[in-house]
Amino acid sequence: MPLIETHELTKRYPGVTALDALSVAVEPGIVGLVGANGAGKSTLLKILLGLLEPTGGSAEVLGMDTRHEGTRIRAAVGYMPEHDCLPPDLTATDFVAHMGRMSGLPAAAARERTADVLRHVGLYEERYRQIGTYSTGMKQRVKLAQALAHDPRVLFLDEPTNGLDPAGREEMLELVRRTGTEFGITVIVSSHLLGEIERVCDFLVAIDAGRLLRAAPLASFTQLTNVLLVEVEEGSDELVAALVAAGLTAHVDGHLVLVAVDASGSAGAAPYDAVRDAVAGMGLGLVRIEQRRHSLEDLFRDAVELPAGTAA
Amino acid sequence: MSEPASGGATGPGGAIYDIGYRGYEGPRLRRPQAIRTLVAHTVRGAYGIGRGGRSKVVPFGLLVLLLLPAIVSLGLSGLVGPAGQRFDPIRYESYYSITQTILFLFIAAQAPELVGPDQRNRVLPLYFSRPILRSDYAFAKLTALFIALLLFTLAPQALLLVGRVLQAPDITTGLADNLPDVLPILGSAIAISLLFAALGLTIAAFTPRRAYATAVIIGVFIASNAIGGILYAVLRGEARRWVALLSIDTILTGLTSFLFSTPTAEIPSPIVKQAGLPGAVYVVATLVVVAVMVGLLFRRYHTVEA
Amino acid sequence: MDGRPAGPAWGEGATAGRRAPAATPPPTGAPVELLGVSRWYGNVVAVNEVSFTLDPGITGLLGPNGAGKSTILSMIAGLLRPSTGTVAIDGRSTWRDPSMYRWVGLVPERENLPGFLTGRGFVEYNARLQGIPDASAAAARAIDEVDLAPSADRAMAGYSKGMRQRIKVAAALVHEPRVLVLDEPFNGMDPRQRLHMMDLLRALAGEGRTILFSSHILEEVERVAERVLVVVAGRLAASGDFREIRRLMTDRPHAFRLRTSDDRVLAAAIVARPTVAGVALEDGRLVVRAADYAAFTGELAGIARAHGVSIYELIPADESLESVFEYLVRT
Repeated sequence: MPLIETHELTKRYPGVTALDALSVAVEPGIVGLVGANGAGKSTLLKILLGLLEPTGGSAEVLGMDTRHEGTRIRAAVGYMPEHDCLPPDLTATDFVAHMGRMSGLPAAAARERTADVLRHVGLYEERYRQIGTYSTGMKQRVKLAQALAHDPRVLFLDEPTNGLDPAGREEMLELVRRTGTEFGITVIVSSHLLGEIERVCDFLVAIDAGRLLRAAPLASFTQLTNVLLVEVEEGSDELVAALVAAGLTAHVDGHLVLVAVDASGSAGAAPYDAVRDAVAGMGLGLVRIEQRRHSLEDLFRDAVELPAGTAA
Repeated sequence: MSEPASGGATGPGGAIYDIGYRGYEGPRLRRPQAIRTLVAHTVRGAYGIGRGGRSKVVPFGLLVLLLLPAIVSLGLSGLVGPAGQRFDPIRYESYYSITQTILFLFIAAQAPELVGPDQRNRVLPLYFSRPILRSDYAFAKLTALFIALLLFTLAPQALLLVGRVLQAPDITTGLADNLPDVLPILGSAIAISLLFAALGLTIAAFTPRRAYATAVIIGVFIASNAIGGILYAVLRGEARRWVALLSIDTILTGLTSFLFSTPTAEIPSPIVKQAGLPGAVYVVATLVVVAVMVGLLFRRYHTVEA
Repeated sequence: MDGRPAGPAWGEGATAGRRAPAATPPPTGAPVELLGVSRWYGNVVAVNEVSFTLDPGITGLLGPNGAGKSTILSMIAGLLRPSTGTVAIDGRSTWRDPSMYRWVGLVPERENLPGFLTGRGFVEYNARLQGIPDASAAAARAIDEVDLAPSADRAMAGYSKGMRQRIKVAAALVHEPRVLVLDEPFNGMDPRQRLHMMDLLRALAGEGRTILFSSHILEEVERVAERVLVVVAGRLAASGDFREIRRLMTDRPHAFRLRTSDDRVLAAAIVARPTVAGVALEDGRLVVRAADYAAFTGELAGIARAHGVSIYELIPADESLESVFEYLVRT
């Protein structure tokens, strides 16, 4: 049974249609939600959480209808908003424990789980200081902790790496990955940083202008192309000449050599060995052999939507 | 993985304990408990408990000011001595007239603290994504402010009561003298707390910026008293008696006098004395104001964006 | 897959030809030179003895938050004076020289766009500030360059984030500066807006301008910058092509991940070589740590051939900008 399902979900404001008959089904796992700013990602999250009423259609989370069982849904769901949302005059421990109790945990359980969860997200002594003294990275961790404290079955993360520097992003992404794999919680990550989505998620939902652009496993977005990238320290032109002489199609592109190789592997090892032998024969420094993949960016590079038959 | 394996393992000589993420299978409480949690959390916030020293200054400072007349009064009557005449510079029912400034300073200062930060810091989405209804949040905040204010209003009265009983020639007399006042004390404390809480909290909920909220609350009280007073002075005939109800001070004084069965000559407010409205009217007026304010409060939290 | 041919996009280097051709040939970029530049505020040293030269093309300025990037950009734009050292464009100091403002266009991070103005109005205003004789023509040209002509006459209050960034770029371009400096231009943009901005920057660089943009999002920089400058705590930690920088980090073994027809045979063969610091079999891949980058890459193909092992995949595992940056920030 899909964890989350929407049927023709629509949300209209005067003058703006935020969601337009969106129908999508999400299975357990780590799911990426991508789209332009204003494409409807936040609106979708808020409707699933019961923070907004849809104007049309319906949505189900964990088999429960958002319109009628909002409270029960929210007991099993955690939410990490994109914006700042923490009171500056409470400590992380006090705040997360309070939120845990608001989610239904008895006082003792709330205290214990708060201590555990703060450790899992990487907050140690800082947790006894007021949140107002925290850095951005620490605040993001607190936001994640309050979403996890009550052991939700689904986690909604809205731009979890917002405001973090590269090291902080790495750590947050690693946390997200662990949450989805080790902790066994389904995670929905909304982000506009495609590189991060590609690294962390295994399923992708792409939304554009309130409509579903594509919903499919990540692998289908990053499939292999028929281009083999070869990088050598020097001698790219000579390499191309040698490959062409060996019967392959190749040309130079910047610091790379592009070789046509069927991604399905129908030609076997032959083209790869041809590259290897040409490089070895000329004594070139071999740095890279890599089948090029499609990337998520391709989805957005096209100015128009993909043909109708592609929406999954 | 950067962390060492956290799965457990046991051998003959030692063991590694699993401290990885644990799920939660225990009981999950429902809305009533969540509301109770929020009420307790908010009441503590009203007195700055658990929030650092600075937030305790105003509430406890005001509390001390509020208690001063009681302390002074007890001190004076103690000086005169048990054998002397009963000397009560302050009566229960007039306590509020003397101290109402302090009461609504507490509301003006603390009501914004209870609902402003959640809006300013955008914590509301975190609350509303919990298994409660928006109205639960509003109800909890109102209940909390009511309780906080009730404690505040009862403290000096309780002090006076206990002090007088102890200062009486003997306990029995003391109790007999003061017990009849307990119910009116409670009644007026509840009524005042309810009215101030509903007014202050609703105003604060609409103006999350602290300085504005405090100013508006104070402004509303002053304006209501001023308008009521002016209209009362200007109008003639039947209408002027009812117009007096526009003034919050009038409502509260009338209510207190009614509950304490104060003889008309001793009512501290000239308007209430003159208007001569039946006591029940003040009760109804209080309830009406509270109902309107609560309605607005719930409406606010139903429509505020999360 | 999804209806698109899975074949290679052979002509991928070409930019979308959507922009109108410039009326006059665009100015050639001028080299920007910083020499021993420091900037301090009391005891806080924001920039600490930084020296570099910027050539025409796109350079990315990277660093953690608070590393001094915005300060450097402001000094290049002539808005801040260096406490010591010189900031010069084509040999002329940027400070206290009003005519230098013609040479530099700054796209600041902050957004103080008056909502009531139209985009065109804003750009024209900037043109007039610069003293350009025909402000409206210059503004029209700049607006075309950033592809905002259809929306130029709407009030900016209704602009999306991407449009606001682009109108700021137009305002910075209107006086045809030789040097364009952008502070976190991709902040808050979604994927499509980002692609457009990257295409725009590439087109501008293609005209020969000198472009410097700052970012702390590495994947953006990796895509569009030809060279990077990495600043850490006010100091310049590295400059150049990030792959080159990686190769210079010789005190770290270079890691490669291989997928071959026989990982163990190849592993046995290369572990015997002094150029290799270690091999590991992980997740169905062969991971090699090379002690001597040049020597290892030079002999790998030969060893594979000699042992009859096919190499299907060879990927430098830690050559990403992320990894380089992490190393630089830590030392």
